[in-house]
Amino acid sequence: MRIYILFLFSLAFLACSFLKPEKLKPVSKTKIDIPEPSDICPNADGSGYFVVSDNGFLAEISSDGKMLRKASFEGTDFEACFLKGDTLAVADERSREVHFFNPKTLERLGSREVPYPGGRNKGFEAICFNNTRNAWQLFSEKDPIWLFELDRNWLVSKKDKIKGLSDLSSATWHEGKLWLLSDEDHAVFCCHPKTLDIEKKWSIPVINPEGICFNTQGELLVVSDDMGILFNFGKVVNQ
Amino acid sequence: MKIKILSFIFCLAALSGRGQISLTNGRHNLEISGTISTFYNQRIFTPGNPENRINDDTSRPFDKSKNRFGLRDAQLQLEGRIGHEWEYELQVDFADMLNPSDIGENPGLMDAWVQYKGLRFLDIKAGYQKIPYSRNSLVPFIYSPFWQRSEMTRGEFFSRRDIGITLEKSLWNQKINLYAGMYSGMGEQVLTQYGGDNDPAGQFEYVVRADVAWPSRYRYRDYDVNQSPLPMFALGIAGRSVKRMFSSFLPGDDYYIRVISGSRQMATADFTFQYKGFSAQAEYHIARITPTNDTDPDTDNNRYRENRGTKDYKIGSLPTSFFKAGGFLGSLSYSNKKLKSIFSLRYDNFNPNDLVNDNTEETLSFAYAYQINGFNAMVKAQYWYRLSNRTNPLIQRFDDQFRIGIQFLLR
Repeated sequence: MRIYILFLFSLAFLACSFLKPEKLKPVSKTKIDIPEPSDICPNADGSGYFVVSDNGFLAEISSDGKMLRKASFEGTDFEACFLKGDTLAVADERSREVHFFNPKTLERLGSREVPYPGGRNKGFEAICFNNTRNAWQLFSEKDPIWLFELDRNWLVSKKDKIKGLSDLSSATWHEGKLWLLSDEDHAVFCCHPKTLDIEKKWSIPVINPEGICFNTQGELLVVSDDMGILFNFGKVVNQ
Repeated sequence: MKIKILSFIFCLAALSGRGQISLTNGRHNLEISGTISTFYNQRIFTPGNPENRINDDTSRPFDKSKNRFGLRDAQLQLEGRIGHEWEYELQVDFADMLNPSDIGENPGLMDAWVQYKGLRFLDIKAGYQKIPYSRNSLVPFIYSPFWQRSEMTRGEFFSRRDIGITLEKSLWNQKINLYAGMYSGMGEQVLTQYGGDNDPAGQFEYVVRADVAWPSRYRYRDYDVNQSPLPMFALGIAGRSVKRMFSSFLPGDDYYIRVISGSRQMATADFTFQYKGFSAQAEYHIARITPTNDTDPDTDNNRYRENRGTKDYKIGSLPTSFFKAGGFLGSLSYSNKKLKSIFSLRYDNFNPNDLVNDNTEETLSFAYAYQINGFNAMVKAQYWYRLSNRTNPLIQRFDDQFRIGIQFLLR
């Protein structure tokens, strides 16, 4: 009886064989000075990056991961950042606020509240500016993953449900496509900017990936919260 | 009245449409969540053992009172954070609160603590809280396919919660976690009508724990539901010490060693691993107990295991003033997202007194969980297969058991 039960469990353990997505291998890894980094975007001249932390602060780091400066304003739980022209937008997951910073001085210019009734750690995980739709977009983490499109007054003008990801931890915009990152899937997704259909998926060997961006050379960068490491995956082709 | 309050609170939670309510004013964030879990339990009776019969009488039918429906959890949880300085948690299990039969292990209140993080270099947690000792005990049970923890870590051997102060420090991107705390030493009993005060000796229980993980921080979770792309490891050690004047037992106690007169030093070591859905845990415990009473108050029970060697009263062949207790648990698991399933196999043994021969309990447990919606909605099944000699009168658990039910998280 004992052996029979053990055999059934062993069989169940080995019973899975599925098609796997293409794997990306990092070409370089950089340790960064920021505790619990939760998102990243390039600075204006591409010499470094803005990074936000779960501890509620915004900082600028050099390309080799050293902290250059830190914003004096601190929030609760910064989970997303994106630079569009002279506006550096940062999403605070727990307080449901978006803060706007001057990217040159890191001075806070203002804040907007965007109500969302999910759990406190299931709020906004990503923010980016959709060039195709010429609008800011906020994304919830999971259960479900919502894309909220915002008008000029930062009111929700449109929302769409994103399917095909277990969760969403970051989003960015690159070469006319929407790029999404999933922590639970350990994967990067390239999506059609209007239909949001997933066009391609890559798996990445990163524990707790929380931030995604492309540098000025067009290389894919992913930051890991738990590992505190910035991974460079080189140029990724969506074909 | 309690039922009405419980119903009102769960209705309030359900009205959010998502189960979980999060309120914020920008600085103060409050989250309301809860857990409901319910099961059916079936015993597979061992023939010949009088304890399986009504009134322990072999001429009478099997006592099938354990074939039952049960409500394991009816929990309400308030978690809050004020700025960067304060965090708090208040968690109540109404199912335990309304059931005094196991009050020593589960008094109903699960958490009532505040934590100050303003010092930055060190966090201070005060109140009724989980004791940072056993890793298995620190893993929240809602993240498990099992219906019950191992015999050693479920709260019969050592108290899992107490009132006191814990100092916490994380290093190296939280890959190293250090804990030190002092507590009443009464464990869960400090909350009950039988407790409330400390032991007359006025001593505290002291606990320390350290764990280290690689290549990233390792949360207190046992199942690799996210299919970690890199192998992850964590190793922990912990110890605790208490000295008391009196024993203290409550309904539901099985081994009478949780809160015992005399001194007790305990140590544990644990290891955990996960990679691509596979995970493994191992945990070892040893306690050195120097009792001042040679038997517990339940002398009518006449269990040999409850005789304890003391300085003046020797039992067995070992002329010691102390006895040892402890055991080992190990588990192997596999989690598959596409199958929405967790499979787990656990072995645990427990010896409540090393001066008594042949009283080690051994169990092999199988668990399966089908995740309808992750851990939020999950059908769980567990089968306990007893490896111990089922005719040995020293063995507390000798029947196999099957339990199946559903866990639903309001979050």
